[in-house]
Amino acid sequence: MFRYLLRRLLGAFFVVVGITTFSFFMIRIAPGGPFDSEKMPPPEIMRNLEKKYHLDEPLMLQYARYAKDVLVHFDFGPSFRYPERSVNEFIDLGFPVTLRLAIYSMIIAVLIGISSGLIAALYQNSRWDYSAMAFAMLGVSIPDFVLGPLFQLIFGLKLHWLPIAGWDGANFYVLPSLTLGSMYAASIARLTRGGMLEITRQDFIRTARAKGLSERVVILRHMLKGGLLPVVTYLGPAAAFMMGGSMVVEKIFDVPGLGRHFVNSALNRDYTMTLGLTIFFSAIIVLFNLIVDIAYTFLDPRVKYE
Amino acid sequence: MMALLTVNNLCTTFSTPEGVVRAVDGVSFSLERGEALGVVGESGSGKSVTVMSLMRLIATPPGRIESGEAIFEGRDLLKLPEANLRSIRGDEIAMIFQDPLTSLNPFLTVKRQLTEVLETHRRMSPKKALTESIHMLELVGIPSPAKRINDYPHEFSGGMRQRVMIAMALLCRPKLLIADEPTTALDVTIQAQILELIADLRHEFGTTVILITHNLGIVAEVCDHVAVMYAGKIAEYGKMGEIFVRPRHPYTQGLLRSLPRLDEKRAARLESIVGQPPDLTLLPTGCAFHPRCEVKSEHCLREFPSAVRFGDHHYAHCWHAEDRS
Ligand SMILES: Nc1ncnc2c1ncn2[C@@H]1O[C@H](COP(=O)(O)OP(=O)(O)O)[C@@H](O)[C@H]1O
Ligand SMILES: [Mg+2]
Repeated sequence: MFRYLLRRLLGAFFVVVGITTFSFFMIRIAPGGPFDSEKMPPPEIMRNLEKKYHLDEPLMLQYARYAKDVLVHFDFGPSFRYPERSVNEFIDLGFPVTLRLAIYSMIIAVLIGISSGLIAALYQNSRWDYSAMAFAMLGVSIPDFVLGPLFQLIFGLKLHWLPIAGWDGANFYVLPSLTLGSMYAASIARLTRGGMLEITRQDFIRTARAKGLSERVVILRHMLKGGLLPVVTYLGPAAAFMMGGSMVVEKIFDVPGLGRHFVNSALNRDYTMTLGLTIFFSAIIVLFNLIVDIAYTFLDPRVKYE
Repeated sequence: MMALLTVNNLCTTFSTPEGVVRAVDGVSFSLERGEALGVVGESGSGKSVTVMSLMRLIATPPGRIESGEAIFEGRDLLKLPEANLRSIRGDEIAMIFQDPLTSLNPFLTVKRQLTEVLETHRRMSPKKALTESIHMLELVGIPSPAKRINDYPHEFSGGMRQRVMIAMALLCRPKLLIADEPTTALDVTIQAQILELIADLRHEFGTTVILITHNLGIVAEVCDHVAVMYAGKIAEYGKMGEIFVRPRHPYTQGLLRSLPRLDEKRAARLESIVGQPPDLTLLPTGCAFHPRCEVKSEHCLREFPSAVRFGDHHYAHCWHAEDRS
């Protein structure tokens, strides 16, 4: 088990190294530069700027310096756009907010998704099943930028139950989390239903019934573990994507998270920021996939640590 | 003495896209205590559906038990409230299935799957249930059971897995053990060991057994009565010895001819029954076996044969059963 963990961590590290390298060179290939604008600064200032950011050095040297800073010191360097602030500062400020939003959204997604998926599976082809799946269909097909304003309109402007924007306490968290979580809730509901129906058809469920176990034990003990495996596999990437993809929701509800900086950095050609956040989010995706794989070995005893 | 189980006119159907299939069509038999009944027939003849109907484990829909009764110690299994039936399943009637790999839950340890039976039916404490389960594993021949009980099913070999299934079935000392092709998924050498185990345990516990197989040779080793099924009906029923010595139904005779025999030269070709098992959605008229039968007459095409009796315990549904004695 320990050796397996070590090997997986090492593998994850190399993936992040690969992403760092790839992103670094990709962003250099992209046309245009951070200091391009209608009014070019005078050449002396240009040269000073390039010196400050080591842009005058050979590309390979720049790469080596950047890779060492990022991978060894977790230092993404200064922002091109806001020279007095570092990318790390933005992460320190924005990531806790994004993380909190993602956690709440995930809790909502898991609670709603699993319970409606279970109901749909256990009452297959009943009206419960059909309505749960209809909602799931709506959930995956309505995009965030439609659902968010819709919630703001209904719960904020019409009913006055909840604030429509900001991030100042529990009641501010509700609408953004619901908006971000609903799409994932829908996917989880469908995965839960599919997984449970798959398990219901297995021989070992027939065995469990033949043993005279109560329906409760058959479902809770014999079906859930296998039936929810597809959901577990989905949760890792979903959690990572939730964090990386909350920018739309953050924009709609004016949440001071990291996603907004990501979007702005791309618009501002703030290369160190875009690069830093890309690597940061990729590392998170890699990490969550790793966590899921490890969780999987505990859930499914047939999976070996190899 | 009253029979342990009496089945009368059991009919089970499935609705399929091709129409309603009568998988079990009027099956009747009776089991004395301590008896071992072998149910043989080609695959698709309705053997599994028969016993699954008795336990009411048929998925509904598409399946449906249309009619019949199954009196088990005075109670009709087919009409009992679900809760009462549940207390019989796994306790008084236990089942072993064909493929032990898919029939055991891969996500749970053997310990969990064994002890839950005792905890459910005997209200045993987890500790007592564990001791009892280890004892049962030892009885079915699992080496170092106290250690192996913590393993998962996939960590056992095929034969050992089937032993685990058998142990699980016998935990509550059932009155009736139903084994549905318990050796079909196993290696030939392991098959013999498992059959021997079932035969031994049957005598040790005095368990009544229904053994389903498509191999008459296996029946010969364990059973004392045989029911031969064809297209959802019992074609012939009788004592083991009589069926082997004087089979009356041409289908039974075909099955016997297809057995490899030790006393014959290797050159002797194995005969198998010509033709395909019938398509239940398009059953022939009259006797369903007639398209494959060597002795059929015009009568066989028109009408299903009524039972022809040979002594108390032997009958065959064939218009020509008496012709060949
Ligand atoms: N779930 C099902 N859906 C539709 N038909 C079924 C189903 N299970 C069994 N049958 C029908 O019942 C017939 C008998 O099946 P079964 O009892 O399993 O045969 P066997 O004698 O091999 O055990 C099959 O040929 C099939 O037509
Ligand atoms: Mg079968």
